Amino acid sequence: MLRYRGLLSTALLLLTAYAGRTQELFVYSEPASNMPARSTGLRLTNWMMDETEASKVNYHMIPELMWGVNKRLMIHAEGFISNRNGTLAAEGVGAYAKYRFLSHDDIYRHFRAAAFARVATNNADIHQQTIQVNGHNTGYQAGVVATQLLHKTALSVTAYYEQAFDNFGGKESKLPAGMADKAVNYILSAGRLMLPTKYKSYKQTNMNLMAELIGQSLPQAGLHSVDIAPSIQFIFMSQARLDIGYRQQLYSNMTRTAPNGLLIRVEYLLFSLGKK
Amino acid sequence: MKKIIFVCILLWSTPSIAQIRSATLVASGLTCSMCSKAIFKALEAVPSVKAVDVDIERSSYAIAFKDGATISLDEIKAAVENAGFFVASLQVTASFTQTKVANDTHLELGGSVFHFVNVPEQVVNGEKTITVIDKDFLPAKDRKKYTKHTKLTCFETGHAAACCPGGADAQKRIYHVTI
Repeated sequence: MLRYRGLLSTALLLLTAYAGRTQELFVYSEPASNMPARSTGLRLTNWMMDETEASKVNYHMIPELMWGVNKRLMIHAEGFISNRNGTLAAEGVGAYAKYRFLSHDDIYRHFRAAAFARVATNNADIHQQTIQVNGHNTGYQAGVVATQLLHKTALSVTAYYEQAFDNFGGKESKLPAGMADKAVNYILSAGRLMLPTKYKSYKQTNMNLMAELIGQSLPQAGLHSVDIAPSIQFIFMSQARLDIGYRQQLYSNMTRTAPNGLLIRVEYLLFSLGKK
Repeated sequence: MKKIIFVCILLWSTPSIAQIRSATLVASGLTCSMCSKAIFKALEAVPSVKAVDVDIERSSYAIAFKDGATISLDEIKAAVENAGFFVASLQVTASFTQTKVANDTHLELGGSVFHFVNVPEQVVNGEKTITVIDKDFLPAKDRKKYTKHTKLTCFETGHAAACCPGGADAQKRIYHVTI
């Protein structure tokens, strides 16, 4: 089954890269572009991750409130909820900001770059070496993202540094002695607008296919992991978004509680809420 | 100095029997309809705009202005930029009645002053489309070719002061256009 999933993921990634036409509203990363100024976005991300050591699904729910501060800056406020300790419980909060500092735009294309940072808290027990500030660890991350849009294709490279601290829960939420607390991460993203083939109205449903390669290194411990994450995205009324993705570990020499699983996200954008 | 005063008199003495009706804007940096809708909504929210008709496939927006409204093209540009994109071209359609235009002459239209660049001296009648050639209203490489057609530095600053120092309307925004 795992082998089949891996092959499927690789095939999708190759297909997407070969076809070379995508959109940039990536599922496992953010593009260099921001949401419109003064607009509000509501996002609900759900992860259903298979636990490797038990036949249990780790369910995480991340509600997010997004705000376009101006044409260059956007911010998110996020909450982390999960069932890891048996019942659904709030585990922490986070804040994310992204600043677009470079734009080379032309008709149907752009090359843009942005800097971003996230700070988050978490009170969950720490049972894995992998670091993930959005949903697992207390800490911060900071990095850059560059996105190239070429008509119906988008390619993006994200690189960021991540620092974890002790979580705020009980004894088991402290970082175990000697465990790496710093990570270097990268994400390579490719996406293609599949439907509609020709735009006629904002009511047409858009369908995007995407594939992302997600890597993490813990240089202090010499540990690495690489995942592949194909996804399909639907955009309704040019305003609401549904993402369905599957993240599959390709390689890892670090301990990870539940690296593989499904992502389902819904998002709704309220345009120019603060205006007129 | 005499030359500057002469130019200023020439600039401000042009009759102004003309009215802006509509504009066609092409935006750059986007493909998807969600991006296009962000621009559409931002343009609709500009107070002088009556209606917007969009061609999503071409990233083109046909803007109709309210009758008698004071029209700020900078507001139109800001709307596109606040949506996260850029203006690739802006063409304004205005109706003229026996209006004389020539290089480096000014004309008041919809509450804004327009400065003509690279136009043969002519009397304009009926509906005419003029293209805005100020910074950030077209790609920099396209704009470069107009720099040789005017020596007045207001082409770079966009304000009257650079052409008419000390004038009463020194801070007045001047939009540079061509036919």
